[in-house]
Amino acid sequence: MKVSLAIRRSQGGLEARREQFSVTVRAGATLLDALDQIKDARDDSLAYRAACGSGGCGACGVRVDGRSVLACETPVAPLVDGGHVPVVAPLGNLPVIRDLVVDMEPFWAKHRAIDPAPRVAAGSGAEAGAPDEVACVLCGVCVSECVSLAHDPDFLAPAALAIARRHVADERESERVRAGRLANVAGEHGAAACVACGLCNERCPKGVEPLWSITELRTLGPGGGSGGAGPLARVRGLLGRGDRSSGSKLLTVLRAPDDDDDE
Amino acid sequence: MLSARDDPTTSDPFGQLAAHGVKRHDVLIVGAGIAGLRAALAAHARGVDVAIVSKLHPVRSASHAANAGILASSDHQITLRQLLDAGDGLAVRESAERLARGLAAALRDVEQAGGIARGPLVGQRALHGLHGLVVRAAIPVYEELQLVELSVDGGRCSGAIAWDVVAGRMVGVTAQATVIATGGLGRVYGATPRAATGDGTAIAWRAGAALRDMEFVQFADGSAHVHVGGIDVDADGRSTVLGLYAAGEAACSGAHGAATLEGAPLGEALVLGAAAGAHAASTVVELPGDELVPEARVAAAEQRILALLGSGSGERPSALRAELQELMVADAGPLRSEAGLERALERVQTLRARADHLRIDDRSRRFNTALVGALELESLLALAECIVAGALAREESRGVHRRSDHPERDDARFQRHALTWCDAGQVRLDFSAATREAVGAR
Repeated sequence: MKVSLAIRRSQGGLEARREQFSVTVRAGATLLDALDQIKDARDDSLAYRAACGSGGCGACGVRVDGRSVLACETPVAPLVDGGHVPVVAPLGNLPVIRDLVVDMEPFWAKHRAIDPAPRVAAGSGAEAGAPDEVACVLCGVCVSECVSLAHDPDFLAPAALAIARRHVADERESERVRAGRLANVAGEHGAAACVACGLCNERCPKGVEPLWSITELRTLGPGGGSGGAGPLARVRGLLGRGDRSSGSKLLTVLRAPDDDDDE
Repeated sequence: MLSARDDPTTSDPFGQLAAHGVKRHDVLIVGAGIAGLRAALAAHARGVDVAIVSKLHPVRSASHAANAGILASSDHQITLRQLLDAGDGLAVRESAERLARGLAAALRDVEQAGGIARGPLVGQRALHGLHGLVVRAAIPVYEELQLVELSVDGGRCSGAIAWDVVAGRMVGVTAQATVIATGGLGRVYGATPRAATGDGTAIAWRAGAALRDMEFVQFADGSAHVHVGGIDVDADGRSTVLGLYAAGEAACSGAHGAATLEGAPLGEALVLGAAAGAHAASTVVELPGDELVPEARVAAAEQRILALLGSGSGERPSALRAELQELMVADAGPLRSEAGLERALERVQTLRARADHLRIDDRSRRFNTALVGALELESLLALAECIVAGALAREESRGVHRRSDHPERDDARFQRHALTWCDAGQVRLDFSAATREAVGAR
């Protein structure tokens, strides 16, 4: 199958340009396979990240026609249907190092800031159950999509807040630790800064739905429930608590779906 | 928002050489999967200054896919027996016993960090949890640094030299003890995981460390699942080079012998990782050294790398890698024969010669993944030759090594470990030592 991709390229802070490549890939190929084919057969200077190639490591996040995805999990055929040439660009809301490679340090700094490990005594046994957030692979797709982050670069953003919610829910931690965690995400750049656009829920490749994690942090946090007048409460009122499969409905309510083109 | 390494001058391949900063730590861990993170935490707990160098951010490590779980052990004597049985006559009792005894504590550690013994996302939960503890301990992690050389002089390792992929410059890290935890070598055989290129194993071999039982590769669904062999280490992770340790899939302590028990590799990543990190920390106290990674050596390594950039006349690393994978699957896979292995050996040696002339069009220093691919290819080819040489010489079937022309186990000739040494870049195989203790004093 012949595939053409328009790839946004940049180097050393120079202005980005689009470069179109056409390659032949096997049936069932992923976007990552197509990038590999371009790199191997056309231009070995194309820079992108990839590690496991099977959806588990979170390294290969990119945007296709403005939509953030994991390249290794995205079949390429539907993208090029009808001769369409999709635009492949780096993740949003992060500085670009080169081509499709972004500097993840702002993302990791926020991950570090939420203290991303349980604070429990030795011999406390295993964490109860499997909180939804353990599926997070820290790929940055939600952060790339985040409307609130685009307005407030210091916003902790969905991934870090989702991980924070996981630890808040860890019953092995003491009340004091839990209160500290909630206070840590309660500032103006914390959970309160979320405008509840719902794109994180919609685009997370692992089904984590960080918006609901953020909602819970706001409810549990200092002055809990005071967010009741805010957009999150309106969303919850609209959909009903516990509806964790309605990210796409949110989009239609809160946001036009096509206004996030990469350029 | 970019870090200090984001120096625009480094995008010019032939511009001013970046300064060769040589960092200094007590203990250096190379690789940030479960074994590497566990080793770093163990060293840190003993109060030494430990740092991690990794070609991937820790959570990107292949450990996330270790979903066979952690071997359960309610009675370490029973577990020891299971390990020795699975090892098919080649397990090292001391290492297997240390593993069996250590499993319960390893599981407690992982649970404390948010992990579980079995079930969905075992590897990911352990990996992310240990990474969280490394974050809390403020252990420095130098990410996206590709190991290039180990600095070994007079039989002692004084640290490592690595290529900073983002900044595009060579970095030296002096350490009194270095732990290799760079994972497996599945990429010798197939496409995934693409980062499993055995860099640390190959580079330790080039630096003089012995590899053990390299021919034992455990396959699943046609791909290399677990490498049973690796850097020859004892139950404390000590290699044959003073100051150089290994843990995880990069290492071969002998605990698994000729085949792994389900859940034992992840268990050993934790147990041997902790042991290696702890012993490396004790070395800092007991065997203080003042050797440094020489700046001239860092500069020379950088020159060697830069000479590859824009070299236009040879073959692409990706093409040679594809050839390697095809031939290894065909002739050095789950069922082997003398004819196939002879063919594989010749072809691998030819590929190694062809790899002296690689084509890299990308002239940029910054995030040059074609260059990384060339460095990885060098490791893959060396390790492939080690595997094939061992498989050819081991004229028997044992554990996961199956020979169609030698279907029986042959204890008289082969109840012994295959040690592989690097002799001026060539593979030298030694079956003479029946046990690792005979190799020499550590």
